[in-house]
Amino acid sequence: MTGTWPYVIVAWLIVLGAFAAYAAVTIVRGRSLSKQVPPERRRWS
Amino acid sequence: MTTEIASGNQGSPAKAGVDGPTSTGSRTTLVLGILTLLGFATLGLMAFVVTPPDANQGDAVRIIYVHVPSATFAYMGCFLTTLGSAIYLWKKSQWWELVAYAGAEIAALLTAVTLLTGMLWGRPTWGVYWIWDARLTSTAMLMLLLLGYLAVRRLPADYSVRAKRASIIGLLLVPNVVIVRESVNWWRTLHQTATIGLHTKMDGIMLFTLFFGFVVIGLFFTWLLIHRFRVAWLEEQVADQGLDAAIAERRAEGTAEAEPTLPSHLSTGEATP
Repeated sequence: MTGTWPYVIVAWLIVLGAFAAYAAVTIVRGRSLSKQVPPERRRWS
Repeated sequence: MTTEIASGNQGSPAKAGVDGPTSTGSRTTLVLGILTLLGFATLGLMAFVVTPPDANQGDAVRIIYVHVPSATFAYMGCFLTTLGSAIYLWKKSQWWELVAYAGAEIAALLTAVTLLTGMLWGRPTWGVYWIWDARLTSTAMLMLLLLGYLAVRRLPADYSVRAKRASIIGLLLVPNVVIVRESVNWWRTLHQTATIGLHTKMDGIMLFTLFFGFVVIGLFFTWLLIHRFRVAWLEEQVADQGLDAAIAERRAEGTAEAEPTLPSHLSTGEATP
């Protein structure tokens, strides 16, 4: 089953990479948009 | 999410200056984010070090610890989208429409991850990356439906038009999830039946790791849903501001056109001789 490891590693890299990339894009977009909206319209402020 | 948005969150760690937090973060998301990171580290340790290879699947079982929870939370995202879409069409609630939108985008991410990890699991187990099996095909159709929802939701149009069109597509997601879920029972497929059920036969530590995967990806899903909802909220606020500014500008132009033309010395306020 040694030949299985590359598939396992690639699968986990895809999961972690996709999650991290999407999370980063969401956070950066949120920061950018927050600067354009007054605090009273950001109701979690 | 509801409570925090409605009641505010004083003392947020994301607070930056007098203008309040300049991000979509709050104390809740900070705690969730830390728990998610710790959870992924622990899940990786359990999946790669603590659990043994499976008797039949060998090391490929280590993909299952992220594949099955990703699929389950993709279904959860679809459920939120259908629920939010139905409530929007019924009550015209923007809050629910934004929940639906956020849920659909996260569901698309998780469905893509499910398809890719499934292919990487299938190659060493079945000998092929892809086969037009009922489960795989119906999952690919679910992915297309999610992409269709997101495309329609982003078409340039008035908010109510975009939201209504996307919500109609959103209603189709849960019926499609039912087809995906039941495909292994309704048709003879290469894909095995549900991994988790009353007759699940898994080693204790392997089963625990799989359930831990559900907890970790559930935490990540919740953290991401809150952030994505807030981003969607901000996008609509920015769009509203742009619309308000355009209306104000047009009104100002209309007022200026309606005013009678005065001699230059009067309009500039110069004293008459």
